[in-house]
Amino acid sequence: MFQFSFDPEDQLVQETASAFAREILRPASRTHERNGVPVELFRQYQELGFASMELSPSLEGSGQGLLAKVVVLEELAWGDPGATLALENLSWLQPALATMPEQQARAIVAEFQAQPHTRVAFADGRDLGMEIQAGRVSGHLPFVPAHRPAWLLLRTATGLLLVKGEDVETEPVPGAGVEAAGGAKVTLHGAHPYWGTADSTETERLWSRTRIALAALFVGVARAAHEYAVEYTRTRNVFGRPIAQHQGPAFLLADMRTAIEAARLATWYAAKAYDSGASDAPRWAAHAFLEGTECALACTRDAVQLLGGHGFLRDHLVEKWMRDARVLTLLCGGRDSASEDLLRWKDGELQLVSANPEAERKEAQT
Amino acid sequence: MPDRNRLTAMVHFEIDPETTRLLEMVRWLGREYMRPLGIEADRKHQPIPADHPFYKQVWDLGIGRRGWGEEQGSSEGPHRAARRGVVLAEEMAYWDRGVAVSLPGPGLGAPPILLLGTPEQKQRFFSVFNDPERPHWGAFAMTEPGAGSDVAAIRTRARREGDYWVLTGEKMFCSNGARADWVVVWATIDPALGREGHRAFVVERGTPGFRVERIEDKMGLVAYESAALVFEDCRVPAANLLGGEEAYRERAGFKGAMQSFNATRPMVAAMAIGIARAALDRATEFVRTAYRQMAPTARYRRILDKLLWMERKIACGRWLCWRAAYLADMQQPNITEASMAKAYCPQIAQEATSLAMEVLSDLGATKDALVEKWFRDVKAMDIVEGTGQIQRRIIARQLTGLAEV
Repeated sequence: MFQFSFDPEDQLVQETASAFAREILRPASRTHERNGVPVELFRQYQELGFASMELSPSLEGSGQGLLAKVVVLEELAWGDPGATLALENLSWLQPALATMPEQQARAIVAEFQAQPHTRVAFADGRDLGMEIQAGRVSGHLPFVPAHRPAWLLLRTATGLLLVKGEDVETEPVPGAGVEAAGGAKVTLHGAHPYWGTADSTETERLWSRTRIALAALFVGVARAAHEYAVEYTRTRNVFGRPIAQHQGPAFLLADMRTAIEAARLATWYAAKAYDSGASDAPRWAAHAFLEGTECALACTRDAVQLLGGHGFLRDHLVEKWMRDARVLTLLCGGRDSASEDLLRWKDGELQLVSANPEAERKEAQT
Repeated sequence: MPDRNRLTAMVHFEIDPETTRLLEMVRWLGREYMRPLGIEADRKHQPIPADHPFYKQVWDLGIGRRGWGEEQGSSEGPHRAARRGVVLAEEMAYWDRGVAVSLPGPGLGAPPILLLGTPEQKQRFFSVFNDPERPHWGAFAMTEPGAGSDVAAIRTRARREGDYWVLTGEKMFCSNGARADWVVVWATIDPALGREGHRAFVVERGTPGFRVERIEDKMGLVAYESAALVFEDCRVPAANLLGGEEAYRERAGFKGAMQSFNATRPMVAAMAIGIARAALDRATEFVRTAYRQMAPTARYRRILDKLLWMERKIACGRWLCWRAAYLADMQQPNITEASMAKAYCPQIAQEATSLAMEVLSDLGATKDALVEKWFRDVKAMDIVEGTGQIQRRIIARQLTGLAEV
């Protein structure tokens, strides 16, 4: 029967991620926002093993599933979603690493082992006019969440590609949020992919990993904002009692908490579907992305609201999380891309079934 | 870093074979009987009579009869009654929530007896459900004309006279109250005591001074009767005080009532999901047949967006119910989770049924299309067992640790 429990060893992984977020990422989040994530932190993160936890043991990973990863990602994003985007570098390549010939994957893993601060970017280029001719890809990406990425995982209209940073032109751009990760605009002039797949089913499946991982970050940043707002509103008095004892704010806090729980469960479900190889995993990944997006945008916005004027000040982190959530949820094509995919699949599902639409139409109308 | 993928094994979303078997039975019952009977009751605007052959049929299948008051979980490992409950509640409400509530059995009267009742009382009041001859009902009466969400404000009085308790007052919204063998009635020994004055009595049918005043005229969920009850110097044997006097020390009375709700809130939430899913299926079927020709249009895309929104929210709501039920089965606190499910599911279910009417467009405005029935039916899910606002108060209190929100 369905269950939602962690055993002590799972809890240890979660607590390790939580402690790293609480003791390192959160206190340094303003510094990282200004200066980016330092090299030493990448090394420390590598030693913890989070970036390689999904890699197969033959690639010196621990072969864990995406579900274990999303639990970690939620904790880390609670600390700082921008820094998590950066530190997760190797993980963003997981869809390609799991699929490409092992020798190719080994070379990439070795590069990260030698240079733990190697940066990775990912983007959905389907609506950005990417052109692929004779196996070479050209086009322009206005924003990827990495400063000078060494690798670019790119979704195109025809498949999923991995392109080396040295084969593309990058120019740093200031991001509106998640500044710790940095940002760049990328131009591809007939870049030759290092690896790629044109299999549409495989592409959808692999891309869903990116969506699910991002959805976990949405839950983490929403939770950060919510917990901050709970603490603020229970300790600050207005009209003679704590803000949280007034029902308007109290109900908002309750709705935020509920939205977080729903988005978390959607993420777990999608990750579980992905791990088990279910054919509908891409659908649930898109749903988790959408639920997470709604949750993160609403919770961070409402947290700023609950802090009132203080929320608008950089003295508190809620303004950062509001901007972070806005930028995070634009990644990977944002919710428009997820909705578009869902529409296409739903349309396909509806078109597939009927043998005699005219008769059924009459039946439906009677 | 552990090298095994146990987290994936520890969290899962599967339904066990026994529950799957029960689901199949509910689907059959629902398709063959519950849906048609619910529609018939709605059109006639009359509850299904207690002597309808359908009830005898389900009684013969064991529905409402087995297992009351027996220890659970000993033979099949961890408890799973709460999880099974939400899965089956969703499926029953999918076919007809009104008919589901009208099914024989102790209904909402069961949780207080299970929580507060002595072994003797459990045996006595549950024994009627072993009768193979004809179906029986139990009922639960808390709500009063002047006390809905604020259950602490109930005014039905109980005063001790020798070996009896004498009840005086009115109750309303008592599901199956007119056909029940007994009703668990909440009353106060002294309104000045607030919640500490609450007591639960099992009032048996035919007790002098107890009568059914009327069947409420509701906007939806017509299939089951919601009875208004009157107690005029109704003399109830002292042995019918649930748990005896000792059960009410340290506010146990009110806590007992509230614990009942913690147990049933995820079920009500799951029922909202069932109704929403029925609306989604109807809307999807309509789109599949009636809208296909207009596939490339902007309107078609907007309609698919609505279906997808419903699909996502229904799934999220279901998982909230499942999580609350899982915690209940693990005998872990689930107050917040139960209230989150109860706050979320009826809200999205109301939106889903409304969207389904939009998808059906002009047809959605007709009674023939059925979605308008679900639109009416589902409204109650946000009201019963604590309104959405009450749920938010509970969640906020749990979150902040502040007593009064």
